[in-house]
Amino acid sequence: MNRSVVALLVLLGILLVLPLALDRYLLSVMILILYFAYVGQAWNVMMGFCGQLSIGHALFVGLGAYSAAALFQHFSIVPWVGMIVAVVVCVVMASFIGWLAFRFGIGGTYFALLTIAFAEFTRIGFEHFGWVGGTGGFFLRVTQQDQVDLMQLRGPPILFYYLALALATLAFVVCWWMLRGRLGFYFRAIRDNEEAARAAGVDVFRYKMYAVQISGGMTALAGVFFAFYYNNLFPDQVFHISRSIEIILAPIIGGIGTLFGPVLGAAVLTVASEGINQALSMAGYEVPGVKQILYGIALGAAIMFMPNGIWPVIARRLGFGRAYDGDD
Amino acid sequence: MTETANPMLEVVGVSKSFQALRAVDNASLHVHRGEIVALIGPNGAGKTTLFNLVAGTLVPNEGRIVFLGSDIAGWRADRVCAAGIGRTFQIVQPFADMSVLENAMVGGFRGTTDRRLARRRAEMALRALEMWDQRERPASALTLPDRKKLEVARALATEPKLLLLDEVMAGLRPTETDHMVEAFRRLNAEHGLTILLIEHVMRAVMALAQRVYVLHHGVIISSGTPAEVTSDPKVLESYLGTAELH
Amino acid sequence: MPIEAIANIVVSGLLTGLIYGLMALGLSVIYGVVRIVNFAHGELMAVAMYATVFAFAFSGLDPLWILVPIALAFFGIGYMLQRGLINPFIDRPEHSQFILLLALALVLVNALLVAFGPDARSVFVDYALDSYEIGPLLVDKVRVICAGVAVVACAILFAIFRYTSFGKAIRACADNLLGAQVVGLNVKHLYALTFGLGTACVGIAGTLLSMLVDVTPGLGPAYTLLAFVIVIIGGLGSMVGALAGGILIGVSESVAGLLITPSAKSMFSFALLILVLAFRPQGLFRAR
Repeated sequence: MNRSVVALLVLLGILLVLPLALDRYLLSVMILILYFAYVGQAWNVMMGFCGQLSIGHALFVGLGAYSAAALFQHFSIVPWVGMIVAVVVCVVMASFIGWLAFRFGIGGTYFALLTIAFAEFTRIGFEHFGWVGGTGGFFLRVTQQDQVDLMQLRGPPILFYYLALALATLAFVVCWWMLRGRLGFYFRAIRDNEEAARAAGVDVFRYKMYAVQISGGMTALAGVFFAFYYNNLFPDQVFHISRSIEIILAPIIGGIGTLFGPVLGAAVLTVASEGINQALSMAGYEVPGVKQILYGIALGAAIMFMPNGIWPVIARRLGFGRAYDGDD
Repeated sequence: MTETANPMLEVVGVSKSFQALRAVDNASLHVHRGEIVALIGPNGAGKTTLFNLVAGTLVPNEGRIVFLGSDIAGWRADRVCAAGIGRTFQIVQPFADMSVLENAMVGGFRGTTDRRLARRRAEMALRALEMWDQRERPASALTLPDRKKLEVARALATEPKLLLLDEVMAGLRPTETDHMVEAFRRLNAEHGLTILLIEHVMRAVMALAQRVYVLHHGVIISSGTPAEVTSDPKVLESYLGTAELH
Repeated sequence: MPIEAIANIVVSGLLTGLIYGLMALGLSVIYGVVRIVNFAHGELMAVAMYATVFAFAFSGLDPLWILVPIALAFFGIGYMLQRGLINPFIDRPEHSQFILLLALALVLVNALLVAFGPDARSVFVDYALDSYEIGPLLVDKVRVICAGVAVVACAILFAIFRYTSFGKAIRACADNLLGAQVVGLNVKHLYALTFGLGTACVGIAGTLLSMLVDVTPGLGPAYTLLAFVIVIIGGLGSMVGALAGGILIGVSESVAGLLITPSAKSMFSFALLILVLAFRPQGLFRAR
């Protein structure tokens, strides 16, 4: 365990000073990696820890994004307050979906389908939602790029780098802490065997609800980040199933249910994705859809040959134990 | 050491039907605090169904199930566990991706969020079942007898007042059976754990049980001490179709 | 709005709904037997739609004739898909299966996009603009014929399950897998047959629908979702439920197109889904 802690601290240290050495493009790639590490971790809480598959997570990103953005743009409410609203909205939505799906103990299929349905229909709904721009898009006012305005989350990319790093680190710590306690144990019990969990005293419905609420709430923050970093939101972009698939690719490839899996997966995926982008544009194959085909193949290959992801394999080689053993 | 006062568990006139099949038919039994009671009967007699009714996995169509003064019939399984009944499954159900210790700790967290308490309970339970040495192993890597022991340990870690054991001896070698019997005897004698067990392995039943109920086609056809029951002609007939038992 | 116009719209929706029902039936059959949630269902239908478009453009044959080779081809595709790709996943956890099929769907949709571009295609038969007059109602000839074919296809499927030996064998697998294996049924083969049948349904439905709507790659995911909404509303595993659900959705979509902007009419189906899940989660045609 101590080896792991040292390794993580070293990694954190590197990440803290990294921006000094990066150009604008690489900085944006790193921000993307940290963003996907964070949102993948949030999804991991629901799926990796508790076994509830969501393929509509873009729903929470979008709701979080639009909530905070609308409050900022229409009422000049600072994103730090908007964030709270975003989390509340997402937790309520997650609760509703969970309630519909989990009540009668019907299989995980319903929940997964519902997440997709909700994301899809929210997308259509927002396309007709004029108050936040509809299909035309919603734009946040952008001030001078050089000045850092922390209150309003306006500023140069390096601000967003540190914000993303903070989010990713926070998610990591929170998940680590969660896994050590009753929440984590009950989540994993539900994932492994619901009936046995019940017999051991776990209120399965309640804990599934906790899992989706926490996951949804965490993802809301990713949405807020998304809104203030990109400064424009389009329903077709934000809520689209492609976004949901991007979100789940990293943890699946990295390692579902592990702490470091989403982080590793995010790094691998983002780098590969950027690499593919460059290669495609150089070869002149910038046809929309090619990248998605590769994503699909990657997803299929991952689930077929490495359903536990690459992190468990690497961790064993490097001699890192599991982060959440029973021992203190 | 039994009390003659109110029984800890009282099953009164409980029935359960699955469409046309009447799995449990007006069954009644009781278990006093500190007793070890066995439930035996031929395959398909409805024993596990009866267990499931008590443990909350199934809801009875008729009857009452009174545990420590409350009617728990129809309570959800986790609520029954919280009330103090632990149970094992006939087909073992470990948490495959968790270690032995973690499995037991899931039980240990019952009623508390204190990790250290959960761990202590898990340790006590694992030691009682001689599984402590294997605590780091993933549950999926265990042999069947060890999985059975883990199953018991997990239920034990919830600190139940009544433990329901569903055929835990099946598939064990005689020495392993003796170890288990010893463990249960100790838990019963030293910690006052009340036990209701379903068992086919007569060796264990004779060694452990103070009283026995016999279930056949969902009906309780006999009850009494192990000696009484095994010489009851009704019981012999249900098992063998004849009135002879060596 | 005059009552005849509304009636026309309802009938139109009902007819389309019958085709939706056929599509959903394929999904329901697969789930009922193989217990796999086929997330690539709509995408397979989109492939069928494109196949029809191009077969029609190439040969000039009425799609109703093209339907037969497509049905057979898709039966084969379904069979091989199950045998080759999905069978190894039978014992894996549900979410693994889901993700596998999701990956397949992703590849299919985008392959269509890359191959044919985002522009809409259509199949325009000579009688596309004809209509029948039934009393005060005016219904599209194409729609009536397509709905009729869909009904025939459903009837054939029902008959297969009821009367043929392999149909009964498939039902045996669904009811009692262990028993079926003990009796010596070749479960793998039967599963693949089922998948083939379900995919054939989807192929036929695709051919029929290509005559009624404009074909774009994005239809794939939209129809997958629609199929699931129908099957959940009707009840997972219930054949009658799939058909009835299809009709219900077809009609509600048409009617919704009246009340709200057409691009938002799928919200109606969505609202229905939530209502059913809230008050009768096992579906309208299933006992708890």
